Amino acid sequence: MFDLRLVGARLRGLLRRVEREMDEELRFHVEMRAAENVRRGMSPEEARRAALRQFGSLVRIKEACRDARGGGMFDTLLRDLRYAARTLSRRPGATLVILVTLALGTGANAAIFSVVNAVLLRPLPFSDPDRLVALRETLPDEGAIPVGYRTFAEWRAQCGAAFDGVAAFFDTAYNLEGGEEPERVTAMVVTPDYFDVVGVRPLFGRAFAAEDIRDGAPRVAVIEHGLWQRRFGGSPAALGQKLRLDSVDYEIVGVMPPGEAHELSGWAGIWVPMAPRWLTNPFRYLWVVARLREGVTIEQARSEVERVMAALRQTYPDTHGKPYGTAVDVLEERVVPRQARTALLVLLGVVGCVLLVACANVANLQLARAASREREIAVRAALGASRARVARQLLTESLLLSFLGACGGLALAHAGVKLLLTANPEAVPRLEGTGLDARVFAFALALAALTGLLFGTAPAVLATRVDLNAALKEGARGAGSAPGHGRLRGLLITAQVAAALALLTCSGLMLRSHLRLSAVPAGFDTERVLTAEIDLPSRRYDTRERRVGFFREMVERARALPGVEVAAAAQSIPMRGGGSVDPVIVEGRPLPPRGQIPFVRQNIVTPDYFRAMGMRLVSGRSFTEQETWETGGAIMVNETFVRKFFPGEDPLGRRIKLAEEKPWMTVVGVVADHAQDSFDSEKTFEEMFFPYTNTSDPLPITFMTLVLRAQGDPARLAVPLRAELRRVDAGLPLSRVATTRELADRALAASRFQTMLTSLFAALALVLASVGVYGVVSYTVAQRAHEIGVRVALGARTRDVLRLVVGQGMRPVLAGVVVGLAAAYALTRLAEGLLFGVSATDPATFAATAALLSAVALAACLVPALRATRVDPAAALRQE
Amino acid sequence: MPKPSAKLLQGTLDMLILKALSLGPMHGFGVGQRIVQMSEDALRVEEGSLYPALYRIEQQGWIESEWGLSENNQRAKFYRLTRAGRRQLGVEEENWERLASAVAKVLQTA
Repeated sequence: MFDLRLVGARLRGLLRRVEREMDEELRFHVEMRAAENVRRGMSPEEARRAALRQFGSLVRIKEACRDARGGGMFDTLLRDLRYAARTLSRRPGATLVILVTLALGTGANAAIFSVVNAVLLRPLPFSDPDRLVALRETLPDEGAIPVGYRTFAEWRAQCGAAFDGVAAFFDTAYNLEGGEEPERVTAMVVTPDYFDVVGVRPLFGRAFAAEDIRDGAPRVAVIEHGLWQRRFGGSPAALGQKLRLDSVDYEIVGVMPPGEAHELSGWAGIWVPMAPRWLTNPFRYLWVVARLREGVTIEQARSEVERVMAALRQTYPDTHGKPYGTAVDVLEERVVPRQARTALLVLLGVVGCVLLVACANVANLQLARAASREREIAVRAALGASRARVARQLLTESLLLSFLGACGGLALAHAGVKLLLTANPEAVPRLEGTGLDARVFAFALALAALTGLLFGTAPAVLATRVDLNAALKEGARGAGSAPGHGRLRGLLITAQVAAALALLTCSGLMLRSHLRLSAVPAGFDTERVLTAEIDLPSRRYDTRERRVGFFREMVERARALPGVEVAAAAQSIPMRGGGSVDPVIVEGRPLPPRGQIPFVRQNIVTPDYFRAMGMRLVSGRSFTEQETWETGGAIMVNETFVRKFFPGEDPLGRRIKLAEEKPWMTVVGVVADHAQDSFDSEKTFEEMFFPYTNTSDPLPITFMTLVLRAQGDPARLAVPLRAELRRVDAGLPLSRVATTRELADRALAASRFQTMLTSLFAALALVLASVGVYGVVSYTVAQRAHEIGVRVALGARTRDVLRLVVGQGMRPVLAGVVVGLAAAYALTRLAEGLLFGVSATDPATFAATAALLSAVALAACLVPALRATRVDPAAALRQE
Repeated sequence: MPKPSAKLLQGTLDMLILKALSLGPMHGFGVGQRIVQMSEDALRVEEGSLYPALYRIEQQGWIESEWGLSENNQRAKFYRLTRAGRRQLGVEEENWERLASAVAKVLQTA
């Protein structure tokens, strides 16, 4: 950052030089004139006096010169600034308090704004991102969902009037083999025109072409910049090289530029073209992105997309009938989910409140100061300074303060943003781009100007309304008596108390919500479990025996590792998503009509999975290694499953099947419910578990997560586990290694992030507001020392004095509490979607925060009030 | 007693200053003296108008200033006509002549 002192020094130097030169020039003139007068026969002294007389008012000429120089405005500004700097430095304490207050206020705003800037305002790294839309299907329960191939193909073929291009992609991951160690790389499988549609060009090489997905075409891939650097040292020779993904070779044809060509799917390391065989998959797994034609509105696009969907509904009522709907949204909404958007906007509101509180404080300080300067201002006015001139001087002072404060604020924001990034990079998408860029600087400057005007205008206007006669006559003691000051001070207190209370309430709700969320029982062990994923390339592991055999061996080897208590594996584990759903037909119940058969989550587990995860077996038994169809097709279910399909009955021994033509399976055990995708989902899904030796799919489990229950610290098991995997198959990476503690923490991260920030800002607002109350009451006590002395002399007791001071101090506070409760009611409504297990209008929270704030304000009043009781009446009266 | 000095028309002072400086660089005092001499004491320039005018003209870029030594070896600020100033002087002289002859004609017919 630039050195302010240096700039100040330069400006001062410039100003001084200009003034000095002007003085010197005029002095020269007078001397020349005097010399001439001497030549005409005057005595030197007389000559000089005559010259000066002839010259006239030096001050007036200089003023005229300054104006003439055109830099007049600038000069006045410089003079005002210099004067302001001198005034401020004469009261370093008060100035410091103001600067710190402003720095905190603007700093908080600049920090949060820089996050908002990075996440919401920074355009997506695509060309013309405004014209990019996401096309999705919708389900009433689940909202927007991906689409199946058929829908995509129809949209692409029939919506040409609305779109320049329609592309599809899905996310996947590959084992990248070769190199020092195999690694798992996230990838996007994209239609060949994907890069054209989003408008991203490769750094070099080429993107995909239609030929790349012809039958027999060589397999090609485009790689991401970081991967290119890591694996190929950034050498252009990478083009044409082979990349071995899941034991299949791909030729590298292009390298993508660094940065964020990935934002649609979190982070992709590799792109491969979508081969036609993918496009026959009946499931809904494609994300569709389209570019609006020039001039086509999103509403037009919506009706086009819905028209095509209506035709599909007619043709395929089973798969495309109601309740499937369509959604067309600008792409940003897919990148930044609504929840994160709301959270950021709420935070922006929160820091806005902090700034209001800070501004109110500074305004009060300035007001007090303006009052004590009434005499000075009156003198200046009496000497002919116009009201505008005086007001400008005072405003200059305020603006100087606010700009200095903003500089401090930017420094604070710089540190704060760093802290934010380390505190939680995952809770908010796109956060990594956060920094202080030109836009943040502009924001801070605008904020400084605004705050300067906000806290500077009222004192400036009031100060110029001084009654000259009264102010000059009354002397110093009359300070602060100007009409309007007291009322304004009270209003400011009311405003800041209201803002602080709104904030406190908001943070109180967040805190309660976070505590509720943290207290949700996980239903699994979050202390001693390590999880790690393994994905088998289906080409090398092409039979059921090979896959089952691999995981059996892997689990056995893991169990034998020192420090491992239980080892197991599962297709999906809590907080990780994944898994699939299957239809369920219950024995002895009438078959529901087509299309209404309920779907249930399915999971595939090894026998010890529940023990390893610390999940409770409610009844029955777990699996053995010998489960087959012949042994009865054992399955296990969770409690929610039992409640839905066997309410009030004993589920053990009951039979279900997945389709009419499939064999019956027998429920052998019931597992307690546990948190599934997150802690805040209000719904637990029905889940059924298959033994990994006997699944519904004849060719299952290429992908499983190993679950190791440790005797001690689970994180220590990662290294030996990886070594063990290498011994079994050196070509397989162990990916996404995490303890269940980390998984649970991550699931709480967004809530923690938000609660932490809101609480921090609320605490700040509380401190600022109480400082404000304290300041105003102290000031009033000092002002009224004389009056209080008189009262005491006339027999007022301590209690009376206390009541007088506290009563007067608390009146605007209580008004603020009332206004604040109303404001909180409005503010917390906006945050409703972010709260878990607590209502946005929770009366207990409202009452508690109002009580807390009132108590703190009361304490802030009491300190100066107690001081008032110690006023010595004799001393106070003697002051007269 | 000095001769009664003519009132200067608004804007005329600038032209006179430019004219005075067209004879060569000079300090402010000298500019005033020159105008007095050139008008044969008919015009007297108030200091209160001279210096603001100098600053204004400098701001317009018609003259530029530089510190130097005066005839009696004192530090003084010297003003010099710029090329733009010379052009401006030409324009103003022409305007002035047109105005003067027009005014003269009006007065003659009266």
